[in-house]
Amino acid sequence: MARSLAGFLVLILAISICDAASIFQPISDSHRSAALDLFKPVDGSFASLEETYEALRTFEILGINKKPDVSTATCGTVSKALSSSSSTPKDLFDALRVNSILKCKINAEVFEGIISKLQAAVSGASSLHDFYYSIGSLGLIKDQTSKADLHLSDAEGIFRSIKALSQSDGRWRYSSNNPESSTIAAGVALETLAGVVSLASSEVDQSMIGIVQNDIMKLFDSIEKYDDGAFYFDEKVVNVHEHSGPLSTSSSVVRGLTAFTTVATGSLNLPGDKILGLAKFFLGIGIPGDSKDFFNQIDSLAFLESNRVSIPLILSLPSTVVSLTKKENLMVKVNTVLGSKAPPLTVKLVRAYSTSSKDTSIIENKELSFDPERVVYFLDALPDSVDVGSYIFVFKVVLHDSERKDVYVTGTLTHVQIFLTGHVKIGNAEIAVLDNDLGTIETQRKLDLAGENAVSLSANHLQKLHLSFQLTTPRGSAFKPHQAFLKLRHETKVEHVFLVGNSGKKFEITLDFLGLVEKLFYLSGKYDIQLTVGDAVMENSLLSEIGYVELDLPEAPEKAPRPPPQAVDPYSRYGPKAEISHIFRAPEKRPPKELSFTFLGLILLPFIGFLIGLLRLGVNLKNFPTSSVPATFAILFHVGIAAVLLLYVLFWLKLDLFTTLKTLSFLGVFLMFVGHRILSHLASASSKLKSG
Amino acid sequence: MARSTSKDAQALFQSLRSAYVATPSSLKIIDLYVCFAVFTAIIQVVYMAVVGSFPFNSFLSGVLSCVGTAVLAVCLRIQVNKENKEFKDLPPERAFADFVLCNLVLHLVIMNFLG
Amino acid sequence: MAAAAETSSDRTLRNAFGSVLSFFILLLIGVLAFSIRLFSVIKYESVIHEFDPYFNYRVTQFLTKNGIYDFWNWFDDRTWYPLGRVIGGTVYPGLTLTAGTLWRILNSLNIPLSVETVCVFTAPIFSAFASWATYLLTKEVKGAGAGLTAAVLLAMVPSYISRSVAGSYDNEAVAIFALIITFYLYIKTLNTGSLFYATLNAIAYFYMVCSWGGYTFIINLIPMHVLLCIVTGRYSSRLYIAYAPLVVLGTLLASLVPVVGFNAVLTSEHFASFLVFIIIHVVALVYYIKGILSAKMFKVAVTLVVSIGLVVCCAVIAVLIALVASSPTMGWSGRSLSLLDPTYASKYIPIIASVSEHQPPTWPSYFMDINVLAFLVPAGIIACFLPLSDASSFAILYIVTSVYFSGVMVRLMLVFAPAACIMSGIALSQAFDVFTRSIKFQLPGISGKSEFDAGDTSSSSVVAANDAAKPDKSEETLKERPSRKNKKKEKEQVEKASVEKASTKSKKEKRLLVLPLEASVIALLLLVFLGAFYVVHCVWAAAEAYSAPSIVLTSHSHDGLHVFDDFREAYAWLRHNTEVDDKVASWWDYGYQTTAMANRTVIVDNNTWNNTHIATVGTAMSSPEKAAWEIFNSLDVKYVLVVFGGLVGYPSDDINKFLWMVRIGGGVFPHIKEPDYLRDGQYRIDSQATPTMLNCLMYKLSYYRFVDVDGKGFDRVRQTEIGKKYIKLTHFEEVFTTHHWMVRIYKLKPPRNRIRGKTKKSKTKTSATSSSRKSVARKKNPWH
Repeated sequence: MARSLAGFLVLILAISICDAASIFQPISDSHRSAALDLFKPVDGSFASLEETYEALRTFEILGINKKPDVSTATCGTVSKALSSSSSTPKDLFDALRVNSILKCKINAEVFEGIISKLQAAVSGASSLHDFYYSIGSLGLIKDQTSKADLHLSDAEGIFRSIKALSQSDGRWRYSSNNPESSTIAAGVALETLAGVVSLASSEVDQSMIGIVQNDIMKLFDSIEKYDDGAFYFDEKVVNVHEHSGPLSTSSSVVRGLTAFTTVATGSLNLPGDKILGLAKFFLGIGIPGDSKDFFNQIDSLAFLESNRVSIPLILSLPSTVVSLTKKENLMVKVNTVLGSKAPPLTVKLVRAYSTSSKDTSIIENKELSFDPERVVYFLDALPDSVDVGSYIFVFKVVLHDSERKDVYVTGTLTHVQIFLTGHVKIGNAEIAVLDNDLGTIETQRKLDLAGENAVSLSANHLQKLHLSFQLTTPRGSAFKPHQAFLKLRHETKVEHVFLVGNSGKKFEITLDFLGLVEKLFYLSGKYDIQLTVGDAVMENSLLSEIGYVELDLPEAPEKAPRPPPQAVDPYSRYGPKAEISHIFRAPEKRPPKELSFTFLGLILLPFIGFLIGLLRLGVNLKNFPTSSVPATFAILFHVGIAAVLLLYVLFWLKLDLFTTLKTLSFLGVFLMFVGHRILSHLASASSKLKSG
Repeated sequence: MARSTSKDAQALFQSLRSAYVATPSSLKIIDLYVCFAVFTAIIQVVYMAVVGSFPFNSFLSGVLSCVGTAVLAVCLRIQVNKENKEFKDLPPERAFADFVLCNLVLHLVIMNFLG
Repeated sequence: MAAAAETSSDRTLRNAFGSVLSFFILLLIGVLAFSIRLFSVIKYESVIHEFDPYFNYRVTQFLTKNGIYDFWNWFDDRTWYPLGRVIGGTVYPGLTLTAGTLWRILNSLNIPLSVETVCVFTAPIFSAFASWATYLLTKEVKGAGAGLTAAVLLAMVPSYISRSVAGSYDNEAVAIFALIITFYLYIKTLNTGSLFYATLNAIAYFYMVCSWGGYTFIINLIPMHVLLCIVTGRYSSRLYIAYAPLVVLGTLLASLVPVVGFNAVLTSEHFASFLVFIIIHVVALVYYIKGILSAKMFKVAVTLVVSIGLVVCCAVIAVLIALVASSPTMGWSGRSLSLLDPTYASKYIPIIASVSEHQPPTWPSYFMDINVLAFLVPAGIIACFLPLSDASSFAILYIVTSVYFSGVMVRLMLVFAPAACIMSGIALSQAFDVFTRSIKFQLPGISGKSEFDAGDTSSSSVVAANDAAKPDKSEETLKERPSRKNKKKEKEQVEKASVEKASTKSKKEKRLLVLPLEASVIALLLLVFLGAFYVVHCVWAAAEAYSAPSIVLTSHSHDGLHVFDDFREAYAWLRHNTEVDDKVASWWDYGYQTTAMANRTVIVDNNTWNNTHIATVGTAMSSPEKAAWEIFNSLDVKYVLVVFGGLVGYPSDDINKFLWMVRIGGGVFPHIKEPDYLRDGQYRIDSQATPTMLNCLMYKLSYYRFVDVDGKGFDRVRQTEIGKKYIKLTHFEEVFTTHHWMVRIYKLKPPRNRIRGKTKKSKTKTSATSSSRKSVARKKNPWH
């Protein structure tokens, strides 16, 4: 139960935190290091020109000097891509983008060929991407080769044909023949239109630009919002193509928007908070793990910083935890998204209030003083009334010179949650064993919860265990921590957690063992006592082993609940299991070789004896038939027997049963035949001999 | 008493030898063969006793082949023995054929069992 | 038949006629033996019968599919989960190889029979062979007439029919044939003394070893006979030739069979043969020396040789005793021990005792299985005693031992039946012999009558036909040495010899055994009636009693025939509705069928090689539901199958076998106590039953929802209302119940994945989160 309540508390805490607006740190060195890890060239170049461009662009924005040198390898691929006739507008576009950073030496006639090809492509283009790549390439060529005479012949027509793809809600379609409209396409289209306008030979009709700006406004109506003031675009239809998360969508919109606003003359009054929200969105992502996302984030942040409409300023805090006991100051930084310096301004603390009570504000309208060398604004002194706890500080950024107000967007108010921590004093803690009936104290110990304790108590089931202590904040008021638990752990690792309740400033818990025997599973013996007091704002949260209590509880009745099995820790459960060792039968002991050989020799002895005996008995072959036919039969007979024995040897050596049996059947028939012949001949001979 | 038994034994052996000398040489050859087989078997058994009967099937087939051949030879001897009245009508050639057949079967099994 | 009336002048023609006749009679006997076993196919269908046949069928399928080498080292993982079973090494391959070879031959002849068909008809075919083998054996013992009679009797002896009806594809089907042919070849070798038959004998013995565990009967019976012959001073060198090669070759061949292996020389079922082997060598030596020595020298020799021989024997006996003592269970496997000591099994091995066919038989079962033969056997024994030959002494030994064994175990009636047939065949033929002869000598005219009477039992005809051949046989067995050789010569000489013998003999018989005419006629009639009664009984037994394939059941009731095909229904359900590697737990009787028909993995099956495993299942069946669930879950069983006969009155269901489950389980896990399931000593399932009984899993699974059938849950097997009517299952759920409720399949519910305390907590959490949802109406930034 206690654990569940703890969970509940934690949950409430989480909710309260995300209630408050969280703060965004601008781009910092962590991004730079991450960029170096993410964009790693494999053997001197990146996989594709597109990646190369992303990598180089990111390095350029972040101002990384010790970037990996890929120029030599890449320039080759760039020039190849440019000079090859089979390269699509996309390849050209990527190549030119890379070239715009690397400034490779490409001779002019290459560009001539490309230009003509691209012009054709533009005039023949139907889908949005064709327009985008070809026109983008033309723009890049125009920048790289200072050719003033590079114009789109029919800018108006192209503009119209692109505009024809737009939808009523400000979004665009990729091509006229696929109906579904996407936000990314809008960004692409805007960028393309910007390119068209910049390439246009003559001034583009303002009305059309106005229409496009109108579209942009409509597009911004479809912007979505997180609860922490971050704005972002997202595709209505997911998976239009692969990179269609909110990040890539918003970044494409931002690119298009900024590009268009740079070329469009007429002022476009976008709501500054939305620009700021977009910035917050990109910053809130932190450091994405994917190189594509990383590029999108950094690139669009760069566009936001360098755009003409409104440059967002980000108010950030080095630390949101301020210790009262150490007398720390609350510091505030204000930067642009990429962390560069902000124009002179002042930061006001509009008000600060505790998260628990919103209406009672502790500080009103206080101006933070500026520290020029650390470029931070700090709140010099908190009033004494402020106690430990979590507060919401509301800041406001005011620019000094008012004509740049429309350039920079600062946002109206920034809510920040600040934790004011402090050292909480733990007073007159004591643990006691009371008798049950009338609370007479049997044994009582003082505790120093900050230090070490080794209390040893003993109690039976008729007694109570009583623990009490006080918590006071640095300001001397009572303090109520989030967690105050008492844990009893039996030798058999069976644990019980009790919530320490408080009355006023005094925390106390009384364990009545008579009521607890059931819960303790009738387990007598040594229980370790552990006290947990913890809070986010409590600098000296403690988890201290107080000591142990020796309990003797009555014998368990028949149907007493068994103590639950101890939960195995997840690492052992999901970790590698112990290796199974297979047990094989030990090989039989073999005799020494020479012994076997001697016996082999011995085996031969009887055989030799047999032969000798034969010689001594004088074997005679006079029975052997003399006439030719029976002789041959006799020989065949012996040959057959020999063959069968040889077959047996083969069987022993390699043959299997069935082949052996087959051969044996043939041999057997043969043997039977010749054997019958010879033996009958012998029999007749012997009978003749007998008779005669 | 002991003397008498020993004398009897000597007489016995005398008569045995004399009787055995009378047996035809073919039977003697068979006897020799039997002795050969039996001794081989005995040697193998001794080997088993010394070393232990690990490849038990090999040991078994070795010994049993010897014993089997011995037994078959004894059967053959019984059948071709002229003195033996029971087998007057059984020609020795027939007996020999049976003997060969039996041996072939026996050794087929032996080879199969030898592993 | 006319030959019977022929005068002795043209005996050769008559004899040829008789032999041809007997050949045809044998053919008819074969047909009879085959066809009388087809009732099961005609009345039911061509299916494999009870339990073990299904395993054999499965093995045969494997053999025909994968070939013999895969079969030798086949490790079956579909059974005895999780242990598995090495089939190739633990099964007697004879039957399987036989059927497989048959199937292969048929297919190579382009006769496309399915493996199942071949398996179904293996048993009848081999029973025909067995009857022919009986003819040969009895012919060796007492002449052709007795042989034919015995063959007829065996062709339809009920106890053999019970094991060899078409479809009961079990080891015994071929084993009996192998048994008889081995005995025949032994006797043949004994009579002729040729090594050729000795070899055949060893090979037949090998086939027997392949086929059945009962080969130990042979390897103990033959040494006993040899010993008997030696003791009764009938040692002859033919005995040596018959025995010594058999032991050597037989032992080698037996140890070629994987399931026997080295047991053929290590376990003490076989030691008797080795002992006798040594003894016979000593005796042979003695006889040899006696042969080559003069009498007085032999006197001296005997003293020495016998003393030496005694010493040797004592040494060997000591060695054997030591071996026996050293080997486990005194070297005797449990079944053999339960043979020697009938109470052994029930005392020590409940598994063996639980099988009904291992129980001692009752007298009615004797009458049922070998009907009138029971009365004819003593007469046969007497007939064997006059005159006593080696063969007849062997027959006597055979009958005596088999009577004892059949008294120990019902299933060994099977070994007893051939002996009974031989004996009564001898008795009948002798009786007919005597009566017909007495009739013939009195008035040759009516002798046609005898043949007419005899016509019914087709044997007696040939008895008459060969009666002349018999007396000389019986006489030559009197003084065998000289007369033996006649058999080796051509038939002419035999007949010649027998002619004058018979003629001389018949003169004697005129005086000797002449019965009054009426008496003999009446006796003949009585014998014929007896035979007729026997035939009727056998046909009835074959048709009604023994042809039911306990996989399909029928019952006749007032409204016609009911067919209960629930088993196959259930197995088909399992095969079609469960995963391929689900484990099905049932009592071991149904293991083979489940693997063969449902192709699912089972925990235990009918070869009960692991008592503990079976005891685990028994314990699960007899424990309360939760404990049972835990046991089954630990064996990761998915389905539990129980057989329940309470609805249709099928007596051999799991509730009736339940006490054995309790005993076997309790034998290993002592917390299962039999008395807990018995209300003051008797086993009951009604309201008087003990709570342990009412709460055990088997009871619950059997009677779950049973009360819904008829309002009160009346069990038609136990003839009582069940004790606990409304049963609630918490850990099992019923997934299938066959049409007549004979098989019920339950599924283990998956384990409950939260315990109460956790549920409470999760409730609070959900409430908290829901409240938080309310508090956070807006979208949260996923990046924070």
